[in-house]
Amino acid sequence: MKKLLLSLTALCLSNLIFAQEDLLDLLDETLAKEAPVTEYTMNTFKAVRIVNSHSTEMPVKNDMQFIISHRFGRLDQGWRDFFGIDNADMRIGIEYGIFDWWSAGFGRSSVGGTIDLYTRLKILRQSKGAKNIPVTMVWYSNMGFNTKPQSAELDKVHRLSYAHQLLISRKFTRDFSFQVMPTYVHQNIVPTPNDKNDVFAVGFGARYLITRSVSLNLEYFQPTTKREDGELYTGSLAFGIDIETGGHVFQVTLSNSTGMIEQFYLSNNTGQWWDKEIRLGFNINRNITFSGKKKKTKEPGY
Amino acid sequence: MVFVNFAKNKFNMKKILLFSIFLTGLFTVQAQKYFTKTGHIWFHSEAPLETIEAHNYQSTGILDSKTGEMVFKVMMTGFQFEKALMQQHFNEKYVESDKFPESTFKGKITNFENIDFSENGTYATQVEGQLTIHGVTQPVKTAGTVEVKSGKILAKSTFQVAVEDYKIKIPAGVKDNIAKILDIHVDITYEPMAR
Repeated sequence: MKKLLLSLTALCLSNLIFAQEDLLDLLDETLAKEAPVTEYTMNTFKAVRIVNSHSTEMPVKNDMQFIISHRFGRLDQGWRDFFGIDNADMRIGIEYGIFDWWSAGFGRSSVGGTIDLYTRLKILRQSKGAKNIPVTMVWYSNMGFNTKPQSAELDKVHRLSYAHQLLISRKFTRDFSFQVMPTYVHQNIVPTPNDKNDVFAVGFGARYLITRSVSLNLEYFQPTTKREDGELYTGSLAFGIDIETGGHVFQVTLSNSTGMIEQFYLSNNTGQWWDKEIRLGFNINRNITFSGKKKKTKEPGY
Repeated sequence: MVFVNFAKNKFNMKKILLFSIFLTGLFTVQAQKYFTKTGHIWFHSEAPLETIEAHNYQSTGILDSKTGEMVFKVMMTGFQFEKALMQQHFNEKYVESDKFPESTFKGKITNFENIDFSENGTYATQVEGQLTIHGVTQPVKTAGTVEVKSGKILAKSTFQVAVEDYKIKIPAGVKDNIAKILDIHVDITYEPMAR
């Protein structure tokens, strides 16, 4: 009987509480009972490149990224060659989204007239909710083909070089994202007997959003392979500022390397920061959408 | 009899709550809440250079037919755009979904007395309430319709919001791409709340 009374009181009380309940709270409670949905992280980086390296952003299905990049000469040469702007290495390239998770691209660099073909696969997508995945992971592989005339002793196969890379990124906060990039580069021929055909490196990249349209980027690759004489390969350090204006992302860069594919900025980098071998540069990323995604749309009822 | 059995059970708040809700239902037949999690809310922006439309098919809401009160909650990342880039910019630059993940509406059908929720029919409604987007709350007043159809409620409305009122800044560079005033369309089918 005591229990009955108690439950009756509780009943009345709970009725009272229920009657005064806020409808928004009730909605929250109701939704909490529903199966959680997966929320995928967006906008880890502004562009498909951090500076030289790829970011985990990829063109979505049927989107194309058109990228023009320049790396000028040494800044410290002053007015003699206009702070390096008289000498430019450039790369022009496109990347196309076959699916949201698979893209392919090619480009041509002025260094060695090298044509690079590449593909990227998105293995993981950072998400929370029903599926909790802490990082985004992308596999990247390229093949470089040197088109410049070479000595008669060399075979066609000597024109080829390869790079393989795993891009692992995490968007920690709205503003801050970080990326780790284990990398392997193989060249069929190297410039000097002191060089190795296989170079391993670990790269780190980060972005910090300073306004909603501008971010600061930093990227550093530390090669772990030693040259024949026991010296480590030179690391590639680069700063960038991303300025996003709708369909374009302009990236202004400062770096110690000339080339814009891994074969150049990891295996053939000689620029020393402490020797003031710093170069100005830029990437212009243009996004082109070929067909709008067909989403189910109802006729507006009003 | 049921009640006595119930009392013999362990002291279970959930059961009591459930039972009390059941009782509430018994005593006031009309006191019914309606729920949706698949509401369709979309907006339409018409600017000289571009027409942008984004649809959200996962809008959630509750309508209380006893008081006429209604609430909505919409995840901003749930809006689907024609172009992926638009969706990225919408979330990162304009509504800042990382900071303000959801928009809410809390309001009331002011003429709900005119609606007979127990019988099929279509009614014109006046709705007033507070709309929160991008962390800013503004009063909203609009007209719509409510259709009662075999236990379900179909609610429709259209209203306009000025993006400026919600402190959403449009950069000068894209002012011809994004309208200053958006049409917001609401098209919801509520079902009786499962108890």
